[in-house]
Amino acid sequence: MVGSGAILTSLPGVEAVATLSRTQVDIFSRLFLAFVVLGTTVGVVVISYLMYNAYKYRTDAPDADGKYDVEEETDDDVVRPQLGEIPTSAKGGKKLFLSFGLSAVLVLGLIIYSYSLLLYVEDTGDVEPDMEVNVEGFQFAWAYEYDNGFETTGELVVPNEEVVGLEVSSRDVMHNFGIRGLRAKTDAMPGQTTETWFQADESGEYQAICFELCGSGHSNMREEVLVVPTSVWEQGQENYNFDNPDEFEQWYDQTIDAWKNGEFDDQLEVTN
Amino acid sequence: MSDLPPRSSVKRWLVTTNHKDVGILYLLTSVFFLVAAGVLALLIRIQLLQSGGTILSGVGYNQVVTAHGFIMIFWFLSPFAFGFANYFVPLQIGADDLAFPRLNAMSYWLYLFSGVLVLGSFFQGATFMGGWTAYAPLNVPAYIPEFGEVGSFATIVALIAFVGSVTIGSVNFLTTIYRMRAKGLRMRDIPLFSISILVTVWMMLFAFAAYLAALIILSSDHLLHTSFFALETGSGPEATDSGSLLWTHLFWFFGHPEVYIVFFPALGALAEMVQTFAGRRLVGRKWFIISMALVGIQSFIVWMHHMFLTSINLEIKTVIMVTTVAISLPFDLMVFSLIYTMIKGKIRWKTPFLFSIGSLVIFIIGGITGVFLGAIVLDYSFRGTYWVVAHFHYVMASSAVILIGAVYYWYPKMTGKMYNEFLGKAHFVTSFIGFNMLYFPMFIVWETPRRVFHYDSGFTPFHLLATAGAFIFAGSFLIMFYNLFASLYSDRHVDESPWAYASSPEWAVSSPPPLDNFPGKPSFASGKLNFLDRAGTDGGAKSETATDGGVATGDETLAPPEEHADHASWWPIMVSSSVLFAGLGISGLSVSYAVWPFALAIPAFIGFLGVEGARQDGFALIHGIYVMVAFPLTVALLILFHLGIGIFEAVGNASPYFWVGLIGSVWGSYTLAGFGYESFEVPEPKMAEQWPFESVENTKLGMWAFIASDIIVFGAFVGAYIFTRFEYGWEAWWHIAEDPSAHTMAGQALEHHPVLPGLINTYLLLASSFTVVLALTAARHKGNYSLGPLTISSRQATLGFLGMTFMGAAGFLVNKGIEWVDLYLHQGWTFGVDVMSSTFYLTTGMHGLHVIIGMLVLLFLIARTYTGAYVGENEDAGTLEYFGLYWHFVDIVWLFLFPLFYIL
Amino acid sequence: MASTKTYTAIFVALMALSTTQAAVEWLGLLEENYWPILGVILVLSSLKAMAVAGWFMHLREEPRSVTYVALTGLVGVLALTAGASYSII
Repeated sequence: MVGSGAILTSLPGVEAVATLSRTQVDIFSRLFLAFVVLGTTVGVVVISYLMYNAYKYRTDAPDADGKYDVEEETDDDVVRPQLGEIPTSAKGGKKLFLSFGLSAVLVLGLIIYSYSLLLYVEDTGDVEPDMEVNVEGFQFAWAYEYDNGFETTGELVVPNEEVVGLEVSSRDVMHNFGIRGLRAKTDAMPGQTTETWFQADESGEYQAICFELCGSGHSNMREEVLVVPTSVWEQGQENYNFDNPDEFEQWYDQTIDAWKNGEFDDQLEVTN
Repeated sequence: MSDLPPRSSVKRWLVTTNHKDVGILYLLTSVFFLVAAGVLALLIRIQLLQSGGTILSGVGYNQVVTAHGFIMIFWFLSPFAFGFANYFVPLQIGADDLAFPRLNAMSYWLYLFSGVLVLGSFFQGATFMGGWTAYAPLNVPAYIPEFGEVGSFATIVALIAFVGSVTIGSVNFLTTIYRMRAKGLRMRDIPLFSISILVTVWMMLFAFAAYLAALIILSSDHLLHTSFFALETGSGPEATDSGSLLWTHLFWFFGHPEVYIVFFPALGALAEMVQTFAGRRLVGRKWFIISMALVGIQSFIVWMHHMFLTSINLEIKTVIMVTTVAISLPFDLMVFSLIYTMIKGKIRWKTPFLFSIGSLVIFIIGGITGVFLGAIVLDYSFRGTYWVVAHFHYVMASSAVILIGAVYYWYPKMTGKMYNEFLGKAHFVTSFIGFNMLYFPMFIVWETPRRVFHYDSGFTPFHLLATAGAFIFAGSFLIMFYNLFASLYSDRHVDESPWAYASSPEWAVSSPPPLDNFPGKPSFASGKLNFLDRAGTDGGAKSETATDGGVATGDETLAPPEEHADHASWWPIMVSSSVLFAGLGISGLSVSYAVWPFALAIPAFIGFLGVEGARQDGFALIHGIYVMVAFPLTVALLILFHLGIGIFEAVGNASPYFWVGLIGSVWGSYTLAGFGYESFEVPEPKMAEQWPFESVENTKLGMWAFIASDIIVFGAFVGAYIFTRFEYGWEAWWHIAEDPSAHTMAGQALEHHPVLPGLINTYLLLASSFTVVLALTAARHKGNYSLGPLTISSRQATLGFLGMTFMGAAGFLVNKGIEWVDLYLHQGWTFGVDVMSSTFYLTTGMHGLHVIIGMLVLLFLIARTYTGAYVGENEDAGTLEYFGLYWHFVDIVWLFLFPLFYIL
Repeated sequence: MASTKTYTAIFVALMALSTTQAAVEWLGLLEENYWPILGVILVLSSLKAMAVAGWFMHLREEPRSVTYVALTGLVGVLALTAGASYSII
C-alpha cells in the first residue's frame, strides 16, 4: 500500500464502509474523505469567486503623466477612498455576514461530526482491547512489553482483526509512536503514559515510526510491525501457552524467523 | 545627543534613532536573515532529493531544520514586518517618531546582535538541534551531544536577547499608538496596517513574556544545572515526570499566538493594498477590526491543540477544540471582507496587487487545510507529518508573500523611485509557481514524517518536484533584488503618491518623507487630514521629557519640535553590543564560573555611575563616593572569587568564554550608565488623540505595559511551579525534599525550610515599598520639612527615603543569602537535587535578580537626586514614580511567592 | 497621591496581614484544614497585592484603562496556569 501515492491509499475502501467496521483506519478515511471533498469544493468556489471579481472589475487605463497608476474618475456612484480621509466601511455588510454565517455552519457541522468520531476513538469503554502492549520509546527504537510479560525491542507482532491497546511512554526524551497504515499514533513522553489502540483489517508488514524529533537517529527511527493472519496467531495459541512469556517467546522467535525467510509472503496482504 | 549625520554617512546608520532609518535597517537586516534561512531551506530540500539523504548527517540535518525554523520565524518574518511598522506606523497615525526613539534603536541593535549570536552558534561546535519547538528534555545538556552544548546554549541566549528586543519594541509601539495619534484620529480610525500592528504588539507583549520564562527555565537547566526537565542521577540523566509536558504548555502558550504575530502585520498590509488597488473602501471595516481583536484574544486559549496527543485529558481537549474552531471563524470573515471589497472596484493588476491576490489564494488553501487539523481525529494522524509542514508553510509563507507585495507597495514611498513593473510581475509569476510547486506536493505525500529524511521511495517524485520548486522560489527573489537595486538609480521619480485611491496619511507627504515626517502638525480634527502650523500649535505648552536625564526645557518649546528633539545616540548600539559579548561569554561558561562575570560587573557599574555622573552632571560628593566604593567592593568580590575558585587557577584555566563574558558585562555596566545619564529630549505629545490614556504620560504607560509583560514572566514561573506541583501531587510536594531515598546525589534530605526568613523578607520589602512612596511624596513636597528645631529640605528627605529603600532591599538580599547558604551548603539542597529545589531557587532567584536590578537603578536615582534632578519647582518627580511602579511590582510578586514557597 | 497618613495606614495593614499568614502556619491551622486555609492565605495575599497596587502604585487615581493593562497580563497567566494544571488533573 505504501508508495502508491498517499491520497489514494487513504481513501476509504468500499468494503470497509459496507461492513461499517470502525477501526481507526476507517474512521480516519471516512472523515478525511469528507474533509477533502468539502474542503476542495469550498476552496475552488471561494478562489474562483475571488479571481472572477478581481478580473471582472479590472481597469486598464494607461498611466497618466507623473503617475504610475490610473487617475481617479468619478463616473459611478461608488464612493472611492480619498487621500487623508478618516476611514469608513464600504457597503456590503449584509453579504459579508451571510457568507460568514454559511462558513460558520459548515465548519461547525464538520467539527461536531468529527467530535462524535473522536469520542468513539477515545472511549475505551466502546472498544474493548483484545490484548494490551506497553510501548516504551528510547533513542532510537521501541521496546514492547506484552500483557503476558514478554519483552522485546525487535518487531511488534500482533494478530489481524483484533483490537490492540497500547500504553505508550518514553525512557529518555519525547518521541511519538505512530504506526502508519493502522492510524495509531500517540506521544511517548517520559514520566507520562498515553493510550491508543488499533485494529488491523489486513495482515502484513507495517512500520512503527517516530514522529517527534528525538535526536541524531530520529530520521531512521522506525521498526517493523508484523500483523500476522488470524490463522497464524490461532495456530500459535494451540501449540503454545500464550500466557506464559517463555512459550510466547519461542513462538515469537519462530514466527519472526519464518517471516524473514519469506514463509508468509503469500499470506500477508500488505507488504513493504 | 548630537546632530544626525546625512544618510550617505555610515555613522548616520549607527547612531540614528529615527523611526524611518530604523525601519530601513530592520528591513535590510531581515532580508539578510531571509537569505540565510533560505539557504538552509535549500539544504533541506537537497537532503530530501532521495530517501536517506544526500549531503547531511543526522545531526547536521537536525541543526539545519532547527535553525531554518528559528531564523525564518524570529529573525526574518517578524522583523521584516516590523521594518514596515517602524517606518509607517508613525506616518499613518500622524506622529513625528515613536514614543521612545532611543529604545527603538536599541530594539533594532538587540535584534541584530541576537541574530549574530544565533548564526555564530554554528561555529561553536553545533547550533541547537532539537527543532524550533525545542521539546524537553531533548533541549537540555543531558540529551545534547557534547560538541553541541555550547552552541545550543548560545542559541537559547540569542533567543533571550531577541525577546528583549521584542519586548522593548512592543512597549514602544503600544505607547506610540495609544498616545501619539493626530488630533481627531480615534483608535478605530487608524489605518488597518497600524491597527494590525497594535493587535500584534499586544500579543507580542504577552506571548513573548511566556516564552522568556520558558527560555529562562531552560537556561537555568543549562547553566545552573537545575532539574526542571531532567535530573542528573548516579546512573545517568533521567527525565522528570513533569518536564516534557511543562515545556509543551509554556512553549505553545507562546507558540500559538506567535503564528498570528507573524501573520497579522501582513494581514493589515494586505487590507491596505486590496483597498488601494481595488479603489474601494474595505467592506465591513469595523467587523474586520473586531475579528482581528477577537483572534488576538482567542489566540491565548487554543495552545493545547498542538498537544492533542500528549497526556492531557479529554475534557480539556474538548474545550480547546471548541476554541480552536471558533478562532477560524473570524478569519473567514476577514477573507470574505477582502473579496467583497473587490466588487465594483477599479482594480489595477499592479505588482503589489498580484502579490495580494496570490497570497489570498495561498492563505485560503492554508486556512482550509488548517481546519482539517482542527478535527482532532484527523489531527491524530497528521501529527508530525508533512501535512502540518505544508499547512503552516502555506499560512506563514503567505504572510511573507504579502509582505513582499508590501515591499513593492511602499518602495516608492521609502525611496522616491518607482520599481520596474515588468520585473515585479515576473517576480510574482516565478515566485507563485515556485511556491506552489514547493509546498503543494507536500499535501500529496503528507505521510512523510516531519524532520525526517528517510521516506518511502514512492514519494520521491513529489519530493523532487518540491526541491525544484524551492529553487525556482529562491531564484525569484534574485529578480526582486535586481529590480529594487536597479530602480534606486532609475529616473522614475514619484511625488507624494504613485497610487490612485491610496488613502492613508503616509501618501500625503513627499517620498521619501522628511526627517520630521510632516510639513506641519497633522490633524484630523476637521474630518480629514490637515497640516497645521507647528509653532502655533506648540506655543506656550510646557515641555515634558520622555526620558529621564537632563532638565526639561522651559521656553524653547515655541520653536518647532524638530529643533529640540534629539535624533542621534551612540548608546543603543553600545548597550546592545555588550549583550552580544556577554551572551557569547555566558554560552560557554561552566556552572562554577557562571555568576562571576556578572557579579564583578556590579562594582564596575557603581564606579561608572560615579564617573559618568561627574561627567554629565558635574562632580558631586556622591560621585566620588560611588567611585570610592567600587574599589573595595571589587576587592571583596575578588576575595570571594578566590575562595570559590582561586584567582590564580582562574587566570590560568578559565576558558576564553569567561573573559568574553567578563568584558561583555563590564562593557554593559559602562554603556548602561552612559545610556542612563545621556540627556535625550523627546517632547511629550501635545495636541494628540490619546484615548484611553489621556492623563498617563508616555513613560508611565510604557512602564505599565512593561509591568504587564513582567506579570506574565513571573506568572509563568509561578504557573510552572503550580503545574509541576500538581504533577507530583500537591500535598505530597514537601516529601520530595524530605525523602532521603529520592536524593541519591545529595546524600541527605532537606531537614527544615522555615517560614521565618520568608516573613522577615516580606517585612523588609513592604517597608521598602513604603519608603519609596514616601520618597515620591517628599520629592513632590513644596518647601522644607521642619521637625522641631530641624529643617530638612524636600531633597534631603527624598534622598533619605531612597536610601532607606536601598537599605531595605540590601537587608532582603542579605537575609536571602543567609537562607540560601543554609539550604544549599549546610543542608545540601542544591539547585538541581530535585525538581522542587529547582522551582524554589529559580523563582525566588529571579525575584532576587529583580531586586538587584532595582537596587542598581536606585543608586542611579540617588546620584541624580543628589545633583539636583527630580525635586524642585519645575519637576514632577515622574522618574521616581516610574521606578516606584517597578519596585512595588517586585513587592507584589513577593507577596505571592512568600505563601507559595514558604507556607503552603 | 494619597496623604502620608493613608500610606502609613496601608503599610501597617500590610505588615499585619503578612504576620497573620505566617501565624496561621505556626499555629498548625494549615495542617488541620489544608485547603480552606490555603484559600484564606491566598485571599490575604491578593488583598495585600490590591492594596499595594491601588494606593502605592496609585491605580485608584489613574484612568481605569491602566488597571486593565495590568489585569490583561494577570488574566493571561491565570489562563495558562489554570489550563495547564487542569489538563493533568
